Amino acid sequence: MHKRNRLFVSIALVYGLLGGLIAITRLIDPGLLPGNVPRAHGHIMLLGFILMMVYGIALHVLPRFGGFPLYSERMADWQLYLANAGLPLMVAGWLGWRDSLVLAGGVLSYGAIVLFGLNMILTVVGRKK
Amino acid sequence: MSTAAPQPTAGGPAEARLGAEAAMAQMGMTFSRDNRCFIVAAQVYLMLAGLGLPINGSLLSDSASRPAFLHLFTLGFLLMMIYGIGGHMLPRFTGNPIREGAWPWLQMGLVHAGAASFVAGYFAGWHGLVVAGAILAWLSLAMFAARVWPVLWGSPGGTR
Ligand code: HEM
Repeated sequence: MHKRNRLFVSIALVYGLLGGLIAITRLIDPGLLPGNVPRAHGHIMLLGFILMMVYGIALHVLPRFGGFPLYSERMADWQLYLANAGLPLMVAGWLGWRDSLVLAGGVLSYGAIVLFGLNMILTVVGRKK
Repeated sequence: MSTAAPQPTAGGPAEARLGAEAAMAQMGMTFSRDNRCFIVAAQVYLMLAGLGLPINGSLLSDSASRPAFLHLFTLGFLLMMIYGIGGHMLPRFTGNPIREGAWPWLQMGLVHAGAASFVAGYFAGWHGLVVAGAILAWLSLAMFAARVWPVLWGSPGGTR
């Protein structure tokens, strides 16, 4: 399994644990963490845990199931960078009440989503570079 | 399940396919018992989460039961699908074994107790039960992470 894909899965696990801890903290002492904690938790779990897990597994299996090599390793590498730059910015924005950070993080996270989507489409239809 | 190793058949393609399928089962392509249970449980939680549709007219209602139905879906369905499929596929992707024995069953006990307490706590309006469920569910995720980490980063996993 490619190191980048193992990183995706590992980072997913870290986000899952972090998102769970944030939610538990909120339940035990609602005033301890500032900002919109449920929103941060929800996105850490969905974008951080579930989506990164899907990224790591899909980048590994879809080329194999599709019968063609991954269209672009570089796109997948940039997807890793963008996804992991975007989500922390969004979370910082929610916890710090800074909409500009949420917006910047959202744009980066969306960049990762688009890179993944295009890379997967071009892979399964067997498009050569 | 038969324990005798299947032999290649001298018959036609149908027999050959059956033989190959049986051989794959012997090589461990099919789910282990724990992962099979995670997948089955995930479907049960999905059906429970979906009850929000006929009851509230929405998967996510605006009532106090919103986090309960939401987490039946996320903790019950999504997380357990990840446990079952991840626990099955990741060792095959990296070639590293996953910790078996009592660990997956402990993980399963924790996630069931966690999800059930969390959800029941919201329905009953009992905060202590919600917190207990949250901690148990988190512990199950920590256990899954501890089982999967060596699968990802153990020695032969460095190959592509
Ligand atoms: C350790 C496990 C978990 C705990 C303790 C936990 C706890 C919580 C709590 C306390 C809330 C706030 C509920 C409220 O509105 O009062 C919440 C919301 C939420 N959770 Fe979780 N959760 C867990 C796992 C998950 C998972 C695995 C996912 C997704 C895959 C998830 C997705 C969400 C979402 C989307 C929200 C709604 C956020 C919003 O309203 O903006 N949670 N969770």
